[in-house]
Amino acid sequence: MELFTLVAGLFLPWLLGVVWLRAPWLRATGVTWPTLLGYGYLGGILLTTLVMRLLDALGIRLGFFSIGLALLLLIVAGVWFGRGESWRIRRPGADWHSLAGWRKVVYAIVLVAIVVRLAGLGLEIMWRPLFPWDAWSQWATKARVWYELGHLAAFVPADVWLSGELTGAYTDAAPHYPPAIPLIQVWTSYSLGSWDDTLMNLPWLLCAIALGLAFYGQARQWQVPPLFALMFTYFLLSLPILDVHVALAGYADLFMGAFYGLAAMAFFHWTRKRDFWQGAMALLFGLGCILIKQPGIAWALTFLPALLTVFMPRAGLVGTSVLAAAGVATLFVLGEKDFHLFGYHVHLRFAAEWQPFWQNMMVMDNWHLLWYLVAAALVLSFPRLLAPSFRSMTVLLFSAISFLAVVFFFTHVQAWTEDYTTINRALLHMVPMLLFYVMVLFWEAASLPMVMTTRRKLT
Amino acid sequence: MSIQLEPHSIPSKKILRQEWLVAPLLFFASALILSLVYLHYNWPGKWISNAKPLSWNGAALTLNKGQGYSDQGKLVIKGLTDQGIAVASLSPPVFQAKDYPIIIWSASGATPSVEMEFLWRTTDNRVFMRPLVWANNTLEPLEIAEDENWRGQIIDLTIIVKGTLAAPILVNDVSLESASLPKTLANMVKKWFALDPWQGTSINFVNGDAIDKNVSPVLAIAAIILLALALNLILAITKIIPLNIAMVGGMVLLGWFILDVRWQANLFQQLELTHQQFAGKTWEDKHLSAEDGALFDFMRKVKAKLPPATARILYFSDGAHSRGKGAYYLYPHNVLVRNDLPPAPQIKTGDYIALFAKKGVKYDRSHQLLMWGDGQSLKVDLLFLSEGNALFKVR
Repeated sequence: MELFTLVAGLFLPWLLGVVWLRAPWLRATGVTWPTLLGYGYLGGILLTTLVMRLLDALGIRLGFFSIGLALLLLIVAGVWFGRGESWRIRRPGADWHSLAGWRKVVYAIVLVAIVVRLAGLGLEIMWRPLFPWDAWSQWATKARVWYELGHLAAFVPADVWLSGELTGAYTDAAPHYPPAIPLIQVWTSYSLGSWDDTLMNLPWLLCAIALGLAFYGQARQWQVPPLFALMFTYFLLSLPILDVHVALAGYADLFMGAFYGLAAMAFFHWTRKRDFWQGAMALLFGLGCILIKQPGIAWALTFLPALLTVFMPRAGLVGTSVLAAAGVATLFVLGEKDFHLFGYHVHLRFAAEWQPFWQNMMVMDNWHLLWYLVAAALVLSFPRLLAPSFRSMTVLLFSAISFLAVVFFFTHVQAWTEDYTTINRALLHMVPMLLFYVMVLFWEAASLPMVMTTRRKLT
Repeated sequence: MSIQLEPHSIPSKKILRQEWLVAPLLFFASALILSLVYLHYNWPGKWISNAKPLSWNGAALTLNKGQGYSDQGKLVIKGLTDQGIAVASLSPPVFQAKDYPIIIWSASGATPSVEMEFLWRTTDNRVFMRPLVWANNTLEPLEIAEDENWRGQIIDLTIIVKGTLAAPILVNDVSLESASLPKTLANMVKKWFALDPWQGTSINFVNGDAIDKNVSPVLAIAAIILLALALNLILAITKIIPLNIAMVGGMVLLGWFILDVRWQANLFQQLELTHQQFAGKTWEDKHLSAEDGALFDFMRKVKAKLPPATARILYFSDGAHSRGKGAYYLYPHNVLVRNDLPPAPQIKTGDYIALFAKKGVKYDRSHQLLMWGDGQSLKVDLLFLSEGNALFKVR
């Protein structure tokens, strides 16, 4: 029974996401299965947390049956709405069959490497009790309380708690953080039928799987060949820091990276062909970032300059550049200042320390060869980065980099880069998006008409 | 020079059959060249050494300070001097330091209260020292070649024991490994796959403590790929092979894959450890088996003393980890965690106070008074006490 409810708990959100992302008004006509499954899980799990918040707001006690029933009804509704949509399923392994010769072998090896990696990470989740710091100081604390109480008790700052002004209020290291991550753990715990701070983290494995599926699916929808797409999916899922965040589950950063990555990939597609489904996904997952973690607000805002350049290519680019320059100048003028933003206390202070970045990105094995690939892609494609087909993608990338640059070089967070506590976790948020961008640059470079002409002349 | 892009035309398929081999061949040629260059500048001794390994059993050592005796070929150190040291030395036939990059002291019986050092004397009568590191109840091999003072002719080898002896230390033997390419390469491979276990910092960065800090694997692979690409370009310019995008991709994939094999090996080794420690246990037993099992056990006993209704618990501990993790173990009770106790008026009647590894707080049993800080005190009932850690209820 426990196994059944656990499986139901893991896959009901997935089914929910899949059926609703096929709703007729989203016009999911050209969406492939990996894309639908990838977006489906992450969309579904976020929708599950919203359902839980709604039930709580209605005064309904949270539990497996109350939440499960609500999800089931939503799934039935989603199926009913999408009943007119055809389910065109390609033959399993169609990509593999389409390959010739040695490519088939390489494809199989890379696929096996991915499966072995995910299986190992899954076992690590299943065996190891809650391990990393923030997981037990600010996320699972809420999950434990809400699971036992059956409602979303308020979490308040320590001084408020100590004053006793709010009876029944709780406190932890980050009371202002959004509830999505703990609610994912709560739902899995209800599925288990008991508190278990090991198995409640299985959604982190599903998040990685969904991210990989979405990445591969979106790459294939970009017309990237199967082997090239799988190679970059492998690059993504083999990144040591990403793997650590699956194995030592309980942090929000993997979900943050997945949501931002899925939003960005959909945005890239939308800028290319104005596909309605992709536009809707960019919007939904971009907004979803806000529900995952406080920095998600800033990540969502990074889409605005890119969106501006979509509608006003030249004016948007010039306007964004002027605003960015003015912003940097303002930061220098402000000097040292203190203020509160999104629940954080921010101390403005300029200090550029590059050594931690060099060490963490290029020397230590946190990212394998990712940053070398990024450098190579940017150098090789430099003349075309602001060409119409890449402009808004590049602006999104530079918006994301600018956000991190401001945080790392103009605020007190600079101190956290020196002890390496924040660099890689913050970079993880933008890496799925970045890797997709790099893959597109490489692929488009290899498909350039100029090169094709050269080939014709030379061969 | 010709540039080829996928997909290949049918006539080029024949070339492709050879080309798919070219990428790995270029990659390994590049790796070989860079390895030779690295060894040329970093190799401490001769590539093929004629020096034979040297070894002496523990009984060959003379105990200059401390108490002990030789038994069955071993040196038994059973006592230290009043200054808390023991010194044992050996005067071997003179040998060249550069022939022997690794020294292995085989010993057993040490506890954390004992430190050991290795000293050597050269023919010009200079003495140098390196600390010895205990791991898994044995001394780790000392890679002495990386010490700039390990040179010239060596005439004395000495071991020093410091601290407090809980049990006699047995020195089984001392051996000097000769410098040879196969052994060094084997050592490099061993280091490449050495376990880098999960630590508290792993969620922030991959530690890489076990890796040779002189050669970062990422930098090494990046350099190998770069050289392989340069070789590829040279061969394309000289029209020996065409420049092929797939080959470039192949080299990058191969480099990534090699780095990932090391990472995967690390994950497998870690998984084995995790399996041994936690597999098949309930979530509570897993926490009891963890490194902070004592903290979990204490909190479990504290929770057994607490009422089921949500009462306020103020929990204090000096250690950041025991503070945060201890608080987590106390949930779903309504807990506040702090380093220092607040002023007494902020604590209410009926509140609970839990202390774990907390200094500066006293309990007067006769007056049932909890005292801390600058004259702060509260009337409390002691509910649970274990090894200086306690739970109180405020009256």
